Amino acid sequence: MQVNFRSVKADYQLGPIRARNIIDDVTFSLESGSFTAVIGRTGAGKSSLLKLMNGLLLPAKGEVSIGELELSQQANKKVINQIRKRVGMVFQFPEHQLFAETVGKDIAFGPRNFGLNEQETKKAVQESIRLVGLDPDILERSPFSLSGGQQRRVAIAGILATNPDVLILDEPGAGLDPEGKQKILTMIKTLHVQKRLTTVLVTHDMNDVATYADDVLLIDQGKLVCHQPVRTFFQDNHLTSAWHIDLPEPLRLQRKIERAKNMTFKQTCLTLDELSQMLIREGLV
Amino acid sequence: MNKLILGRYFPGNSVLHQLDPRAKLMAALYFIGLLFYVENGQGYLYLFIFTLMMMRLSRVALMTYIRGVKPLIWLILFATCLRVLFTGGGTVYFNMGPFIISSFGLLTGIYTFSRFVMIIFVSTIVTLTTKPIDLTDAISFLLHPLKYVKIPVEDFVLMLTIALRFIPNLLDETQKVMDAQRARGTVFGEGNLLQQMKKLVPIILPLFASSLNRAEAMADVMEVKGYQSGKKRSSFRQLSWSRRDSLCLMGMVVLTLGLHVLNEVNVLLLIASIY
Repeated sequence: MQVNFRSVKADYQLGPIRARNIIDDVTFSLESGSFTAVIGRTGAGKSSLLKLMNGLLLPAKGEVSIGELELSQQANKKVINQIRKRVGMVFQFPEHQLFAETVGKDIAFGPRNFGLNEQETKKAVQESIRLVGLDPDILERSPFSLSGGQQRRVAIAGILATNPDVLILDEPGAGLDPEGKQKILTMIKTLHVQKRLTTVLVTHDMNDVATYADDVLLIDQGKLVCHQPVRTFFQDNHLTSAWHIDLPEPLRLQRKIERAKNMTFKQTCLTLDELSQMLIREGLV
Repeated sequence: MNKLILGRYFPGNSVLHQLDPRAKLMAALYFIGLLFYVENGQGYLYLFIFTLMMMRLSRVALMTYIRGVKPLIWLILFATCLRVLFTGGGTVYFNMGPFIISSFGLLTGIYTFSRFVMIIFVSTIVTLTTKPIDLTDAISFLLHPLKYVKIPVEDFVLMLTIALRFIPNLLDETQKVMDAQRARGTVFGEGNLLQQMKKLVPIILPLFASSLNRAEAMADVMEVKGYQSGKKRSSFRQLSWSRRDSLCLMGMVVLTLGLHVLNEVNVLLLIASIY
C-alpha cells in the first residue's frame, strides 16, 4: 500500500506545552512494498512522522494518504479507524503495552477491536504467533512470565494479527541483546517479503539500514533532508559527513582501505559479503 | 489527563513565587481553616475578594484556575446538593420525605459551594507557584515535630518526594500506552460507561507493571547507594525565611481580625434588630 505525504505540517501538544511545526512541510511518497528506514537525530521528528501515518497525530496542514484513504485536519473517526486497521504500528518497547492474562488474549486484542469474529480472531492469533517464530504452547501463558525477547515477539504478533498492509516499527531492536535484535530484524525482513508489506523502520543503527532497508528517509528538525535508495545515500560522502551519519561497518572498512591505499573502488559495499568479494576481485587479499 | 491543573507548577517570578514554601503552605492551611469560621455572607464575600487578590498576585491567568475547578465540579455540586436537600429552617419551599428545600438550606448550599471553590483556588495558588520539591521540603519542616512521637517523618517525606518526582514520567507513559492501544484499534470515549471502563484495563495494567518494575529498580539503586532509613541527613536545598514571609503570616492575622469584626458586627446587628 502506498504512503503519501503532501506538504504535511504538524504540531505536537503535551500538557500546556505546544511545539509548533514538529513536522514542517514534508512531502514524500513510499512505494507499495518498499522497505524504508527513517533516520535522524533524537528529537528530529521521527516518532511524530510515524504517528502521522496512522492518525495518532493529525496534520495541521497538508494531507497524508495511505492507499486510497486520506488523513487531514478534519479526518473523521471512521477513516482514522480504517487507517489504523491497515497500518500496524510497533512502538518502541512494545512489550510495555502487554496487559492480558494470557498471551493468546493479548494478541487477540487488536483483531477483536477491529471487528473480526471469534473464528477469524482465533485464526489470526494462531497465524501471527507462528509468524513471529514462537511456540503455540506459549499462548496459554501469562505475557509477564516471558523473557524480554519473547515479550517483544508477542507484542509484534499482536500487531501482525490485525493483518496490516503497512508495518511501522519504532526501533524494534532497542534494549535487546545483539543476537535477539538480529533475530527480530531478520524476522521483520522475512515478513516484509512474505506478506508484501510496506515497511517503515526507525533506527539509529546504520548497519541495520544497510542490511534491511531499500530506501532511506533522513529528517532533521521536522524537515525532510533526503529520501533516496540506501546505496545512493551511503555513496554520497558529502551528505553523510554533513549530517554526521555513521557509515555501516563494511563501508567504513572500505573507506579506511581506500585511504591507506590511496585509491577509490568503483563499488560501495554495504555488507560483509560484498566487501569480501570485492577485495578478492581487486586482488587485495 | 493533560487538563489537570491542581498539583501542577507554573514557573514564574511573582511575589507569591518568591515566598518561602513554609509560609505559603502554613498560610494556605490556615486560610482553609478560616473558611470554617465564617458565619455569614459578608464573611464569604470578604474571603472571596482576598482569594481573588491572591490569584491576581500569582500572575497566572484566571482561566487556568477555572479550568482547575472543572474536573471537580460534579463532586462539589454533589456535596452542595446534599447540603441543600437535608438542611431545614427558614421558609420551606419543598418537602418530600427526608428531602427538604428551605431558604436556610439554599443559603447553606451557596456557602458550601463557595467554600469548596475557595479551597480549590487556594490550594491551586500554592501548587501553581511552588515547585513540588519545595513543597515537600516545607511539609518535611512542618511535620518535624511528629518525630518526637516516633513517627518516621523523613521516610514519609521521601515517599512523597519520589511520588511527586515520578508523576511526569507516569503521565508520559500513560500517553504512550494509550497511543499503543489506540494503534491496536481501541477508540476511547465511545460506548456506555461499562464499555469505557473496560477500555481502561489495557492502560492501567501495563502502567501498574511498569511502575512496580520501576519501584523495584529504584529500591535497588537506593540500597546500592547506601540509603538507610532513620539516619540523620543534611539537605542540599536550604529554605530561607525572610521578612516577606513573616509579613505573609501577619497578613493572615489581619485577615482573621477583619473576619472576626465582620462576625461580631453581624451579631450586634442581630441583637439590635431584636430590640
